[in-house]
Amino acid sequence: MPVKLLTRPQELSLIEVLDKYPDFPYLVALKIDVQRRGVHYTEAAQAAVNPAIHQLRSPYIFGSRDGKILDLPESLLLRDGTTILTDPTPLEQDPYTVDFIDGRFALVDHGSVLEYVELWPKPLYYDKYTSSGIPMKHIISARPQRLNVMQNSYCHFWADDKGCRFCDIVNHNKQQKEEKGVPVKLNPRDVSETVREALKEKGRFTSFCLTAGSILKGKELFDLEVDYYVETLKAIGENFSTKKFPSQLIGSAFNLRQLERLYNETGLTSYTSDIEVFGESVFNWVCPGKAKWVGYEEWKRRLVDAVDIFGRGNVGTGLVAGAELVQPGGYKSEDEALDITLSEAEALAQKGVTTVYIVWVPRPLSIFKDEQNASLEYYVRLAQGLHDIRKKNGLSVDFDDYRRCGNHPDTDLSRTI
Amino acid sequence: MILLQYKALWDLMDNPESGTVIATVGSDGIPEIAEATVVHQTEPDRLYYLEWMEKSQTNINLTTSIWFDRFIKLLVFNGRHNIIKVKAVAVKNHISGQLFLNYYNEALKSKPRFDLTGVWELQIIKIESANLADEVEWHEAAHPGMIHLDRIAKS
Repeated sequence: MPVKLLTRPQELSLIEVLDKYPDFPYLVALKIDVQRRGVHYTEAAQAAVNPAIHQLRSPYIFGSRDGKILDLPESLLLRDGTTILTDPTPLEQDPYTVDFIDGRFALVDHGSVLEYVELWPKPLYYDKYTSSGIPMKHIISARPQRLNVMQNSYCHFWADDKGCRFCDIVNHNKQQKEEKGVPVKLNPRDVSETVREALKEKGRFTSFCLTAGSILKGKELFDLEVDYYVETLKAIGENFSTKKFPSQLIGSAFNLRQLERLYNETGLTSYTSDIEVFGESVFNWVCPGKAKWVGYEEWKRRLVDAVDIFGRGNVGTGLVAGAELVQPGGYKSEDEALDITLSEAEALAQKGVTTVYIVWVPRPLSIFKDEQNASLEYYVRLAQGLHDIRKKNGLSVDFDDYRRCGNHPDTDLSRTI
Repeated sequence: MILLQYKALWDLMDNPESGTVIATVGSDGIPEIAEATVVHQTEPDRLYYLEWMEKSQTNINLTTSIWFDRFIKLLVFNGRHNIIKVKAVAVKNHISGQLFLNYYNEALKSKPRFDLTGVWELQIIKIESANLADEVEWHEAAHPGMIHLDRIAKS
């Protein structure tokens, strides 16, 4: 697959950003930069990987930055417990290097060792099979403290040719099914059995995250998607003695009836529906399917409705930060993007909805494949801004923090509130 | 000398009658002290603080400490006269992996009410006796001029 050589404009380096923002933690800034630029595993690092104890790349809802599905490490942990979710990235794109030095994995940039890192530990259930014969790692994938359940990997927005422009879900899952035999839709029996096995490893997991592609079908829009979630959550719940269990659902923008159903009929404790980018015209351009079927204002209204059901601090929305700057439909400057994003996040926070972001990376099987993400300084300012908004509005983000998720630099900062 | 200090510290920590207090400072400068579960393994310069609450002020302050290289202190004591003070830095927070799981499983047996949230690896910078008599003796030697005159006046 041809790889585009990215040429970045003049922007501040990691050290320069830290000089400019001395109150911003180095380890979180480093995480952001590694996510932004990706990683390359040296031969020495690859040779040191032990598949018996290290988690290799598992099925995931989105594809890798190099467009390949290889047996490389899943990802990294920094010494403060910060998770870095990052993809193997072509060398032409100037990624960080993960090397093996003096018996330890090291994060290296242009020859300098910046940090020693851990590879994610492999959970014991990864070696097991369901009674239906499927590898359990194909049913539920793991993060250092979380179980990921991706019940359905087809997104109906794509059928309408209106998939989000940064997203590669359908193309990636087709590749994942062809190359690894990963099921496109999960059977709740397999999910329940895998959860039961995962829980045998005491102390290993603190929460679930369920997510899937949007399903437009049903009596009302998204009814079938909700049906699947209810079915899957009930299967998970069979394994717990309490009605509720720590969990996050990242789904479409459901209506009040659907939200009530999810809360009342299942053990779900939090709800997230990703608006992806703030600002209506940019949203309409980046997420044409969401814009057509729900609309920007209605998406936000449904998030606010969810607060009445799940409670303040248990409802969130996610941003694919950097995608809002892609041209020609995005913001013309990082300052403009920050102003609008933080102002919209503040308005939602006042109504009890918290906003988190992930560092967007251009994936080769998405429409935005040839674009590039934002500057490190932008991501640092965004993380600080979203954290400050949470702090000001007294919003917790326990369900989506550094260990229950690990993919949001802004919630890494919220470890300290 | 240093090894003797470590041995004295370990002996004190291993005594079931001993207690430990951890002192940290928040980003707002407010100090926090808390009763602490601190254990050692075999590396002489390492201690492991077991944290039971993700949102305890100590856990929050330790995060700040590892981010901004701030010192923390421990006071290990058994009675009024057997006290050791430790200056340390937080070098790693184990939230997963074998070391964490080992302590988690141990805690399930010894402290079933508590849910271990993390194991902070602390690097010892300095060990010192904190017995008041020892400290007064040191202070008199280091700062002989700091004394009330009546204490050295002819009687």
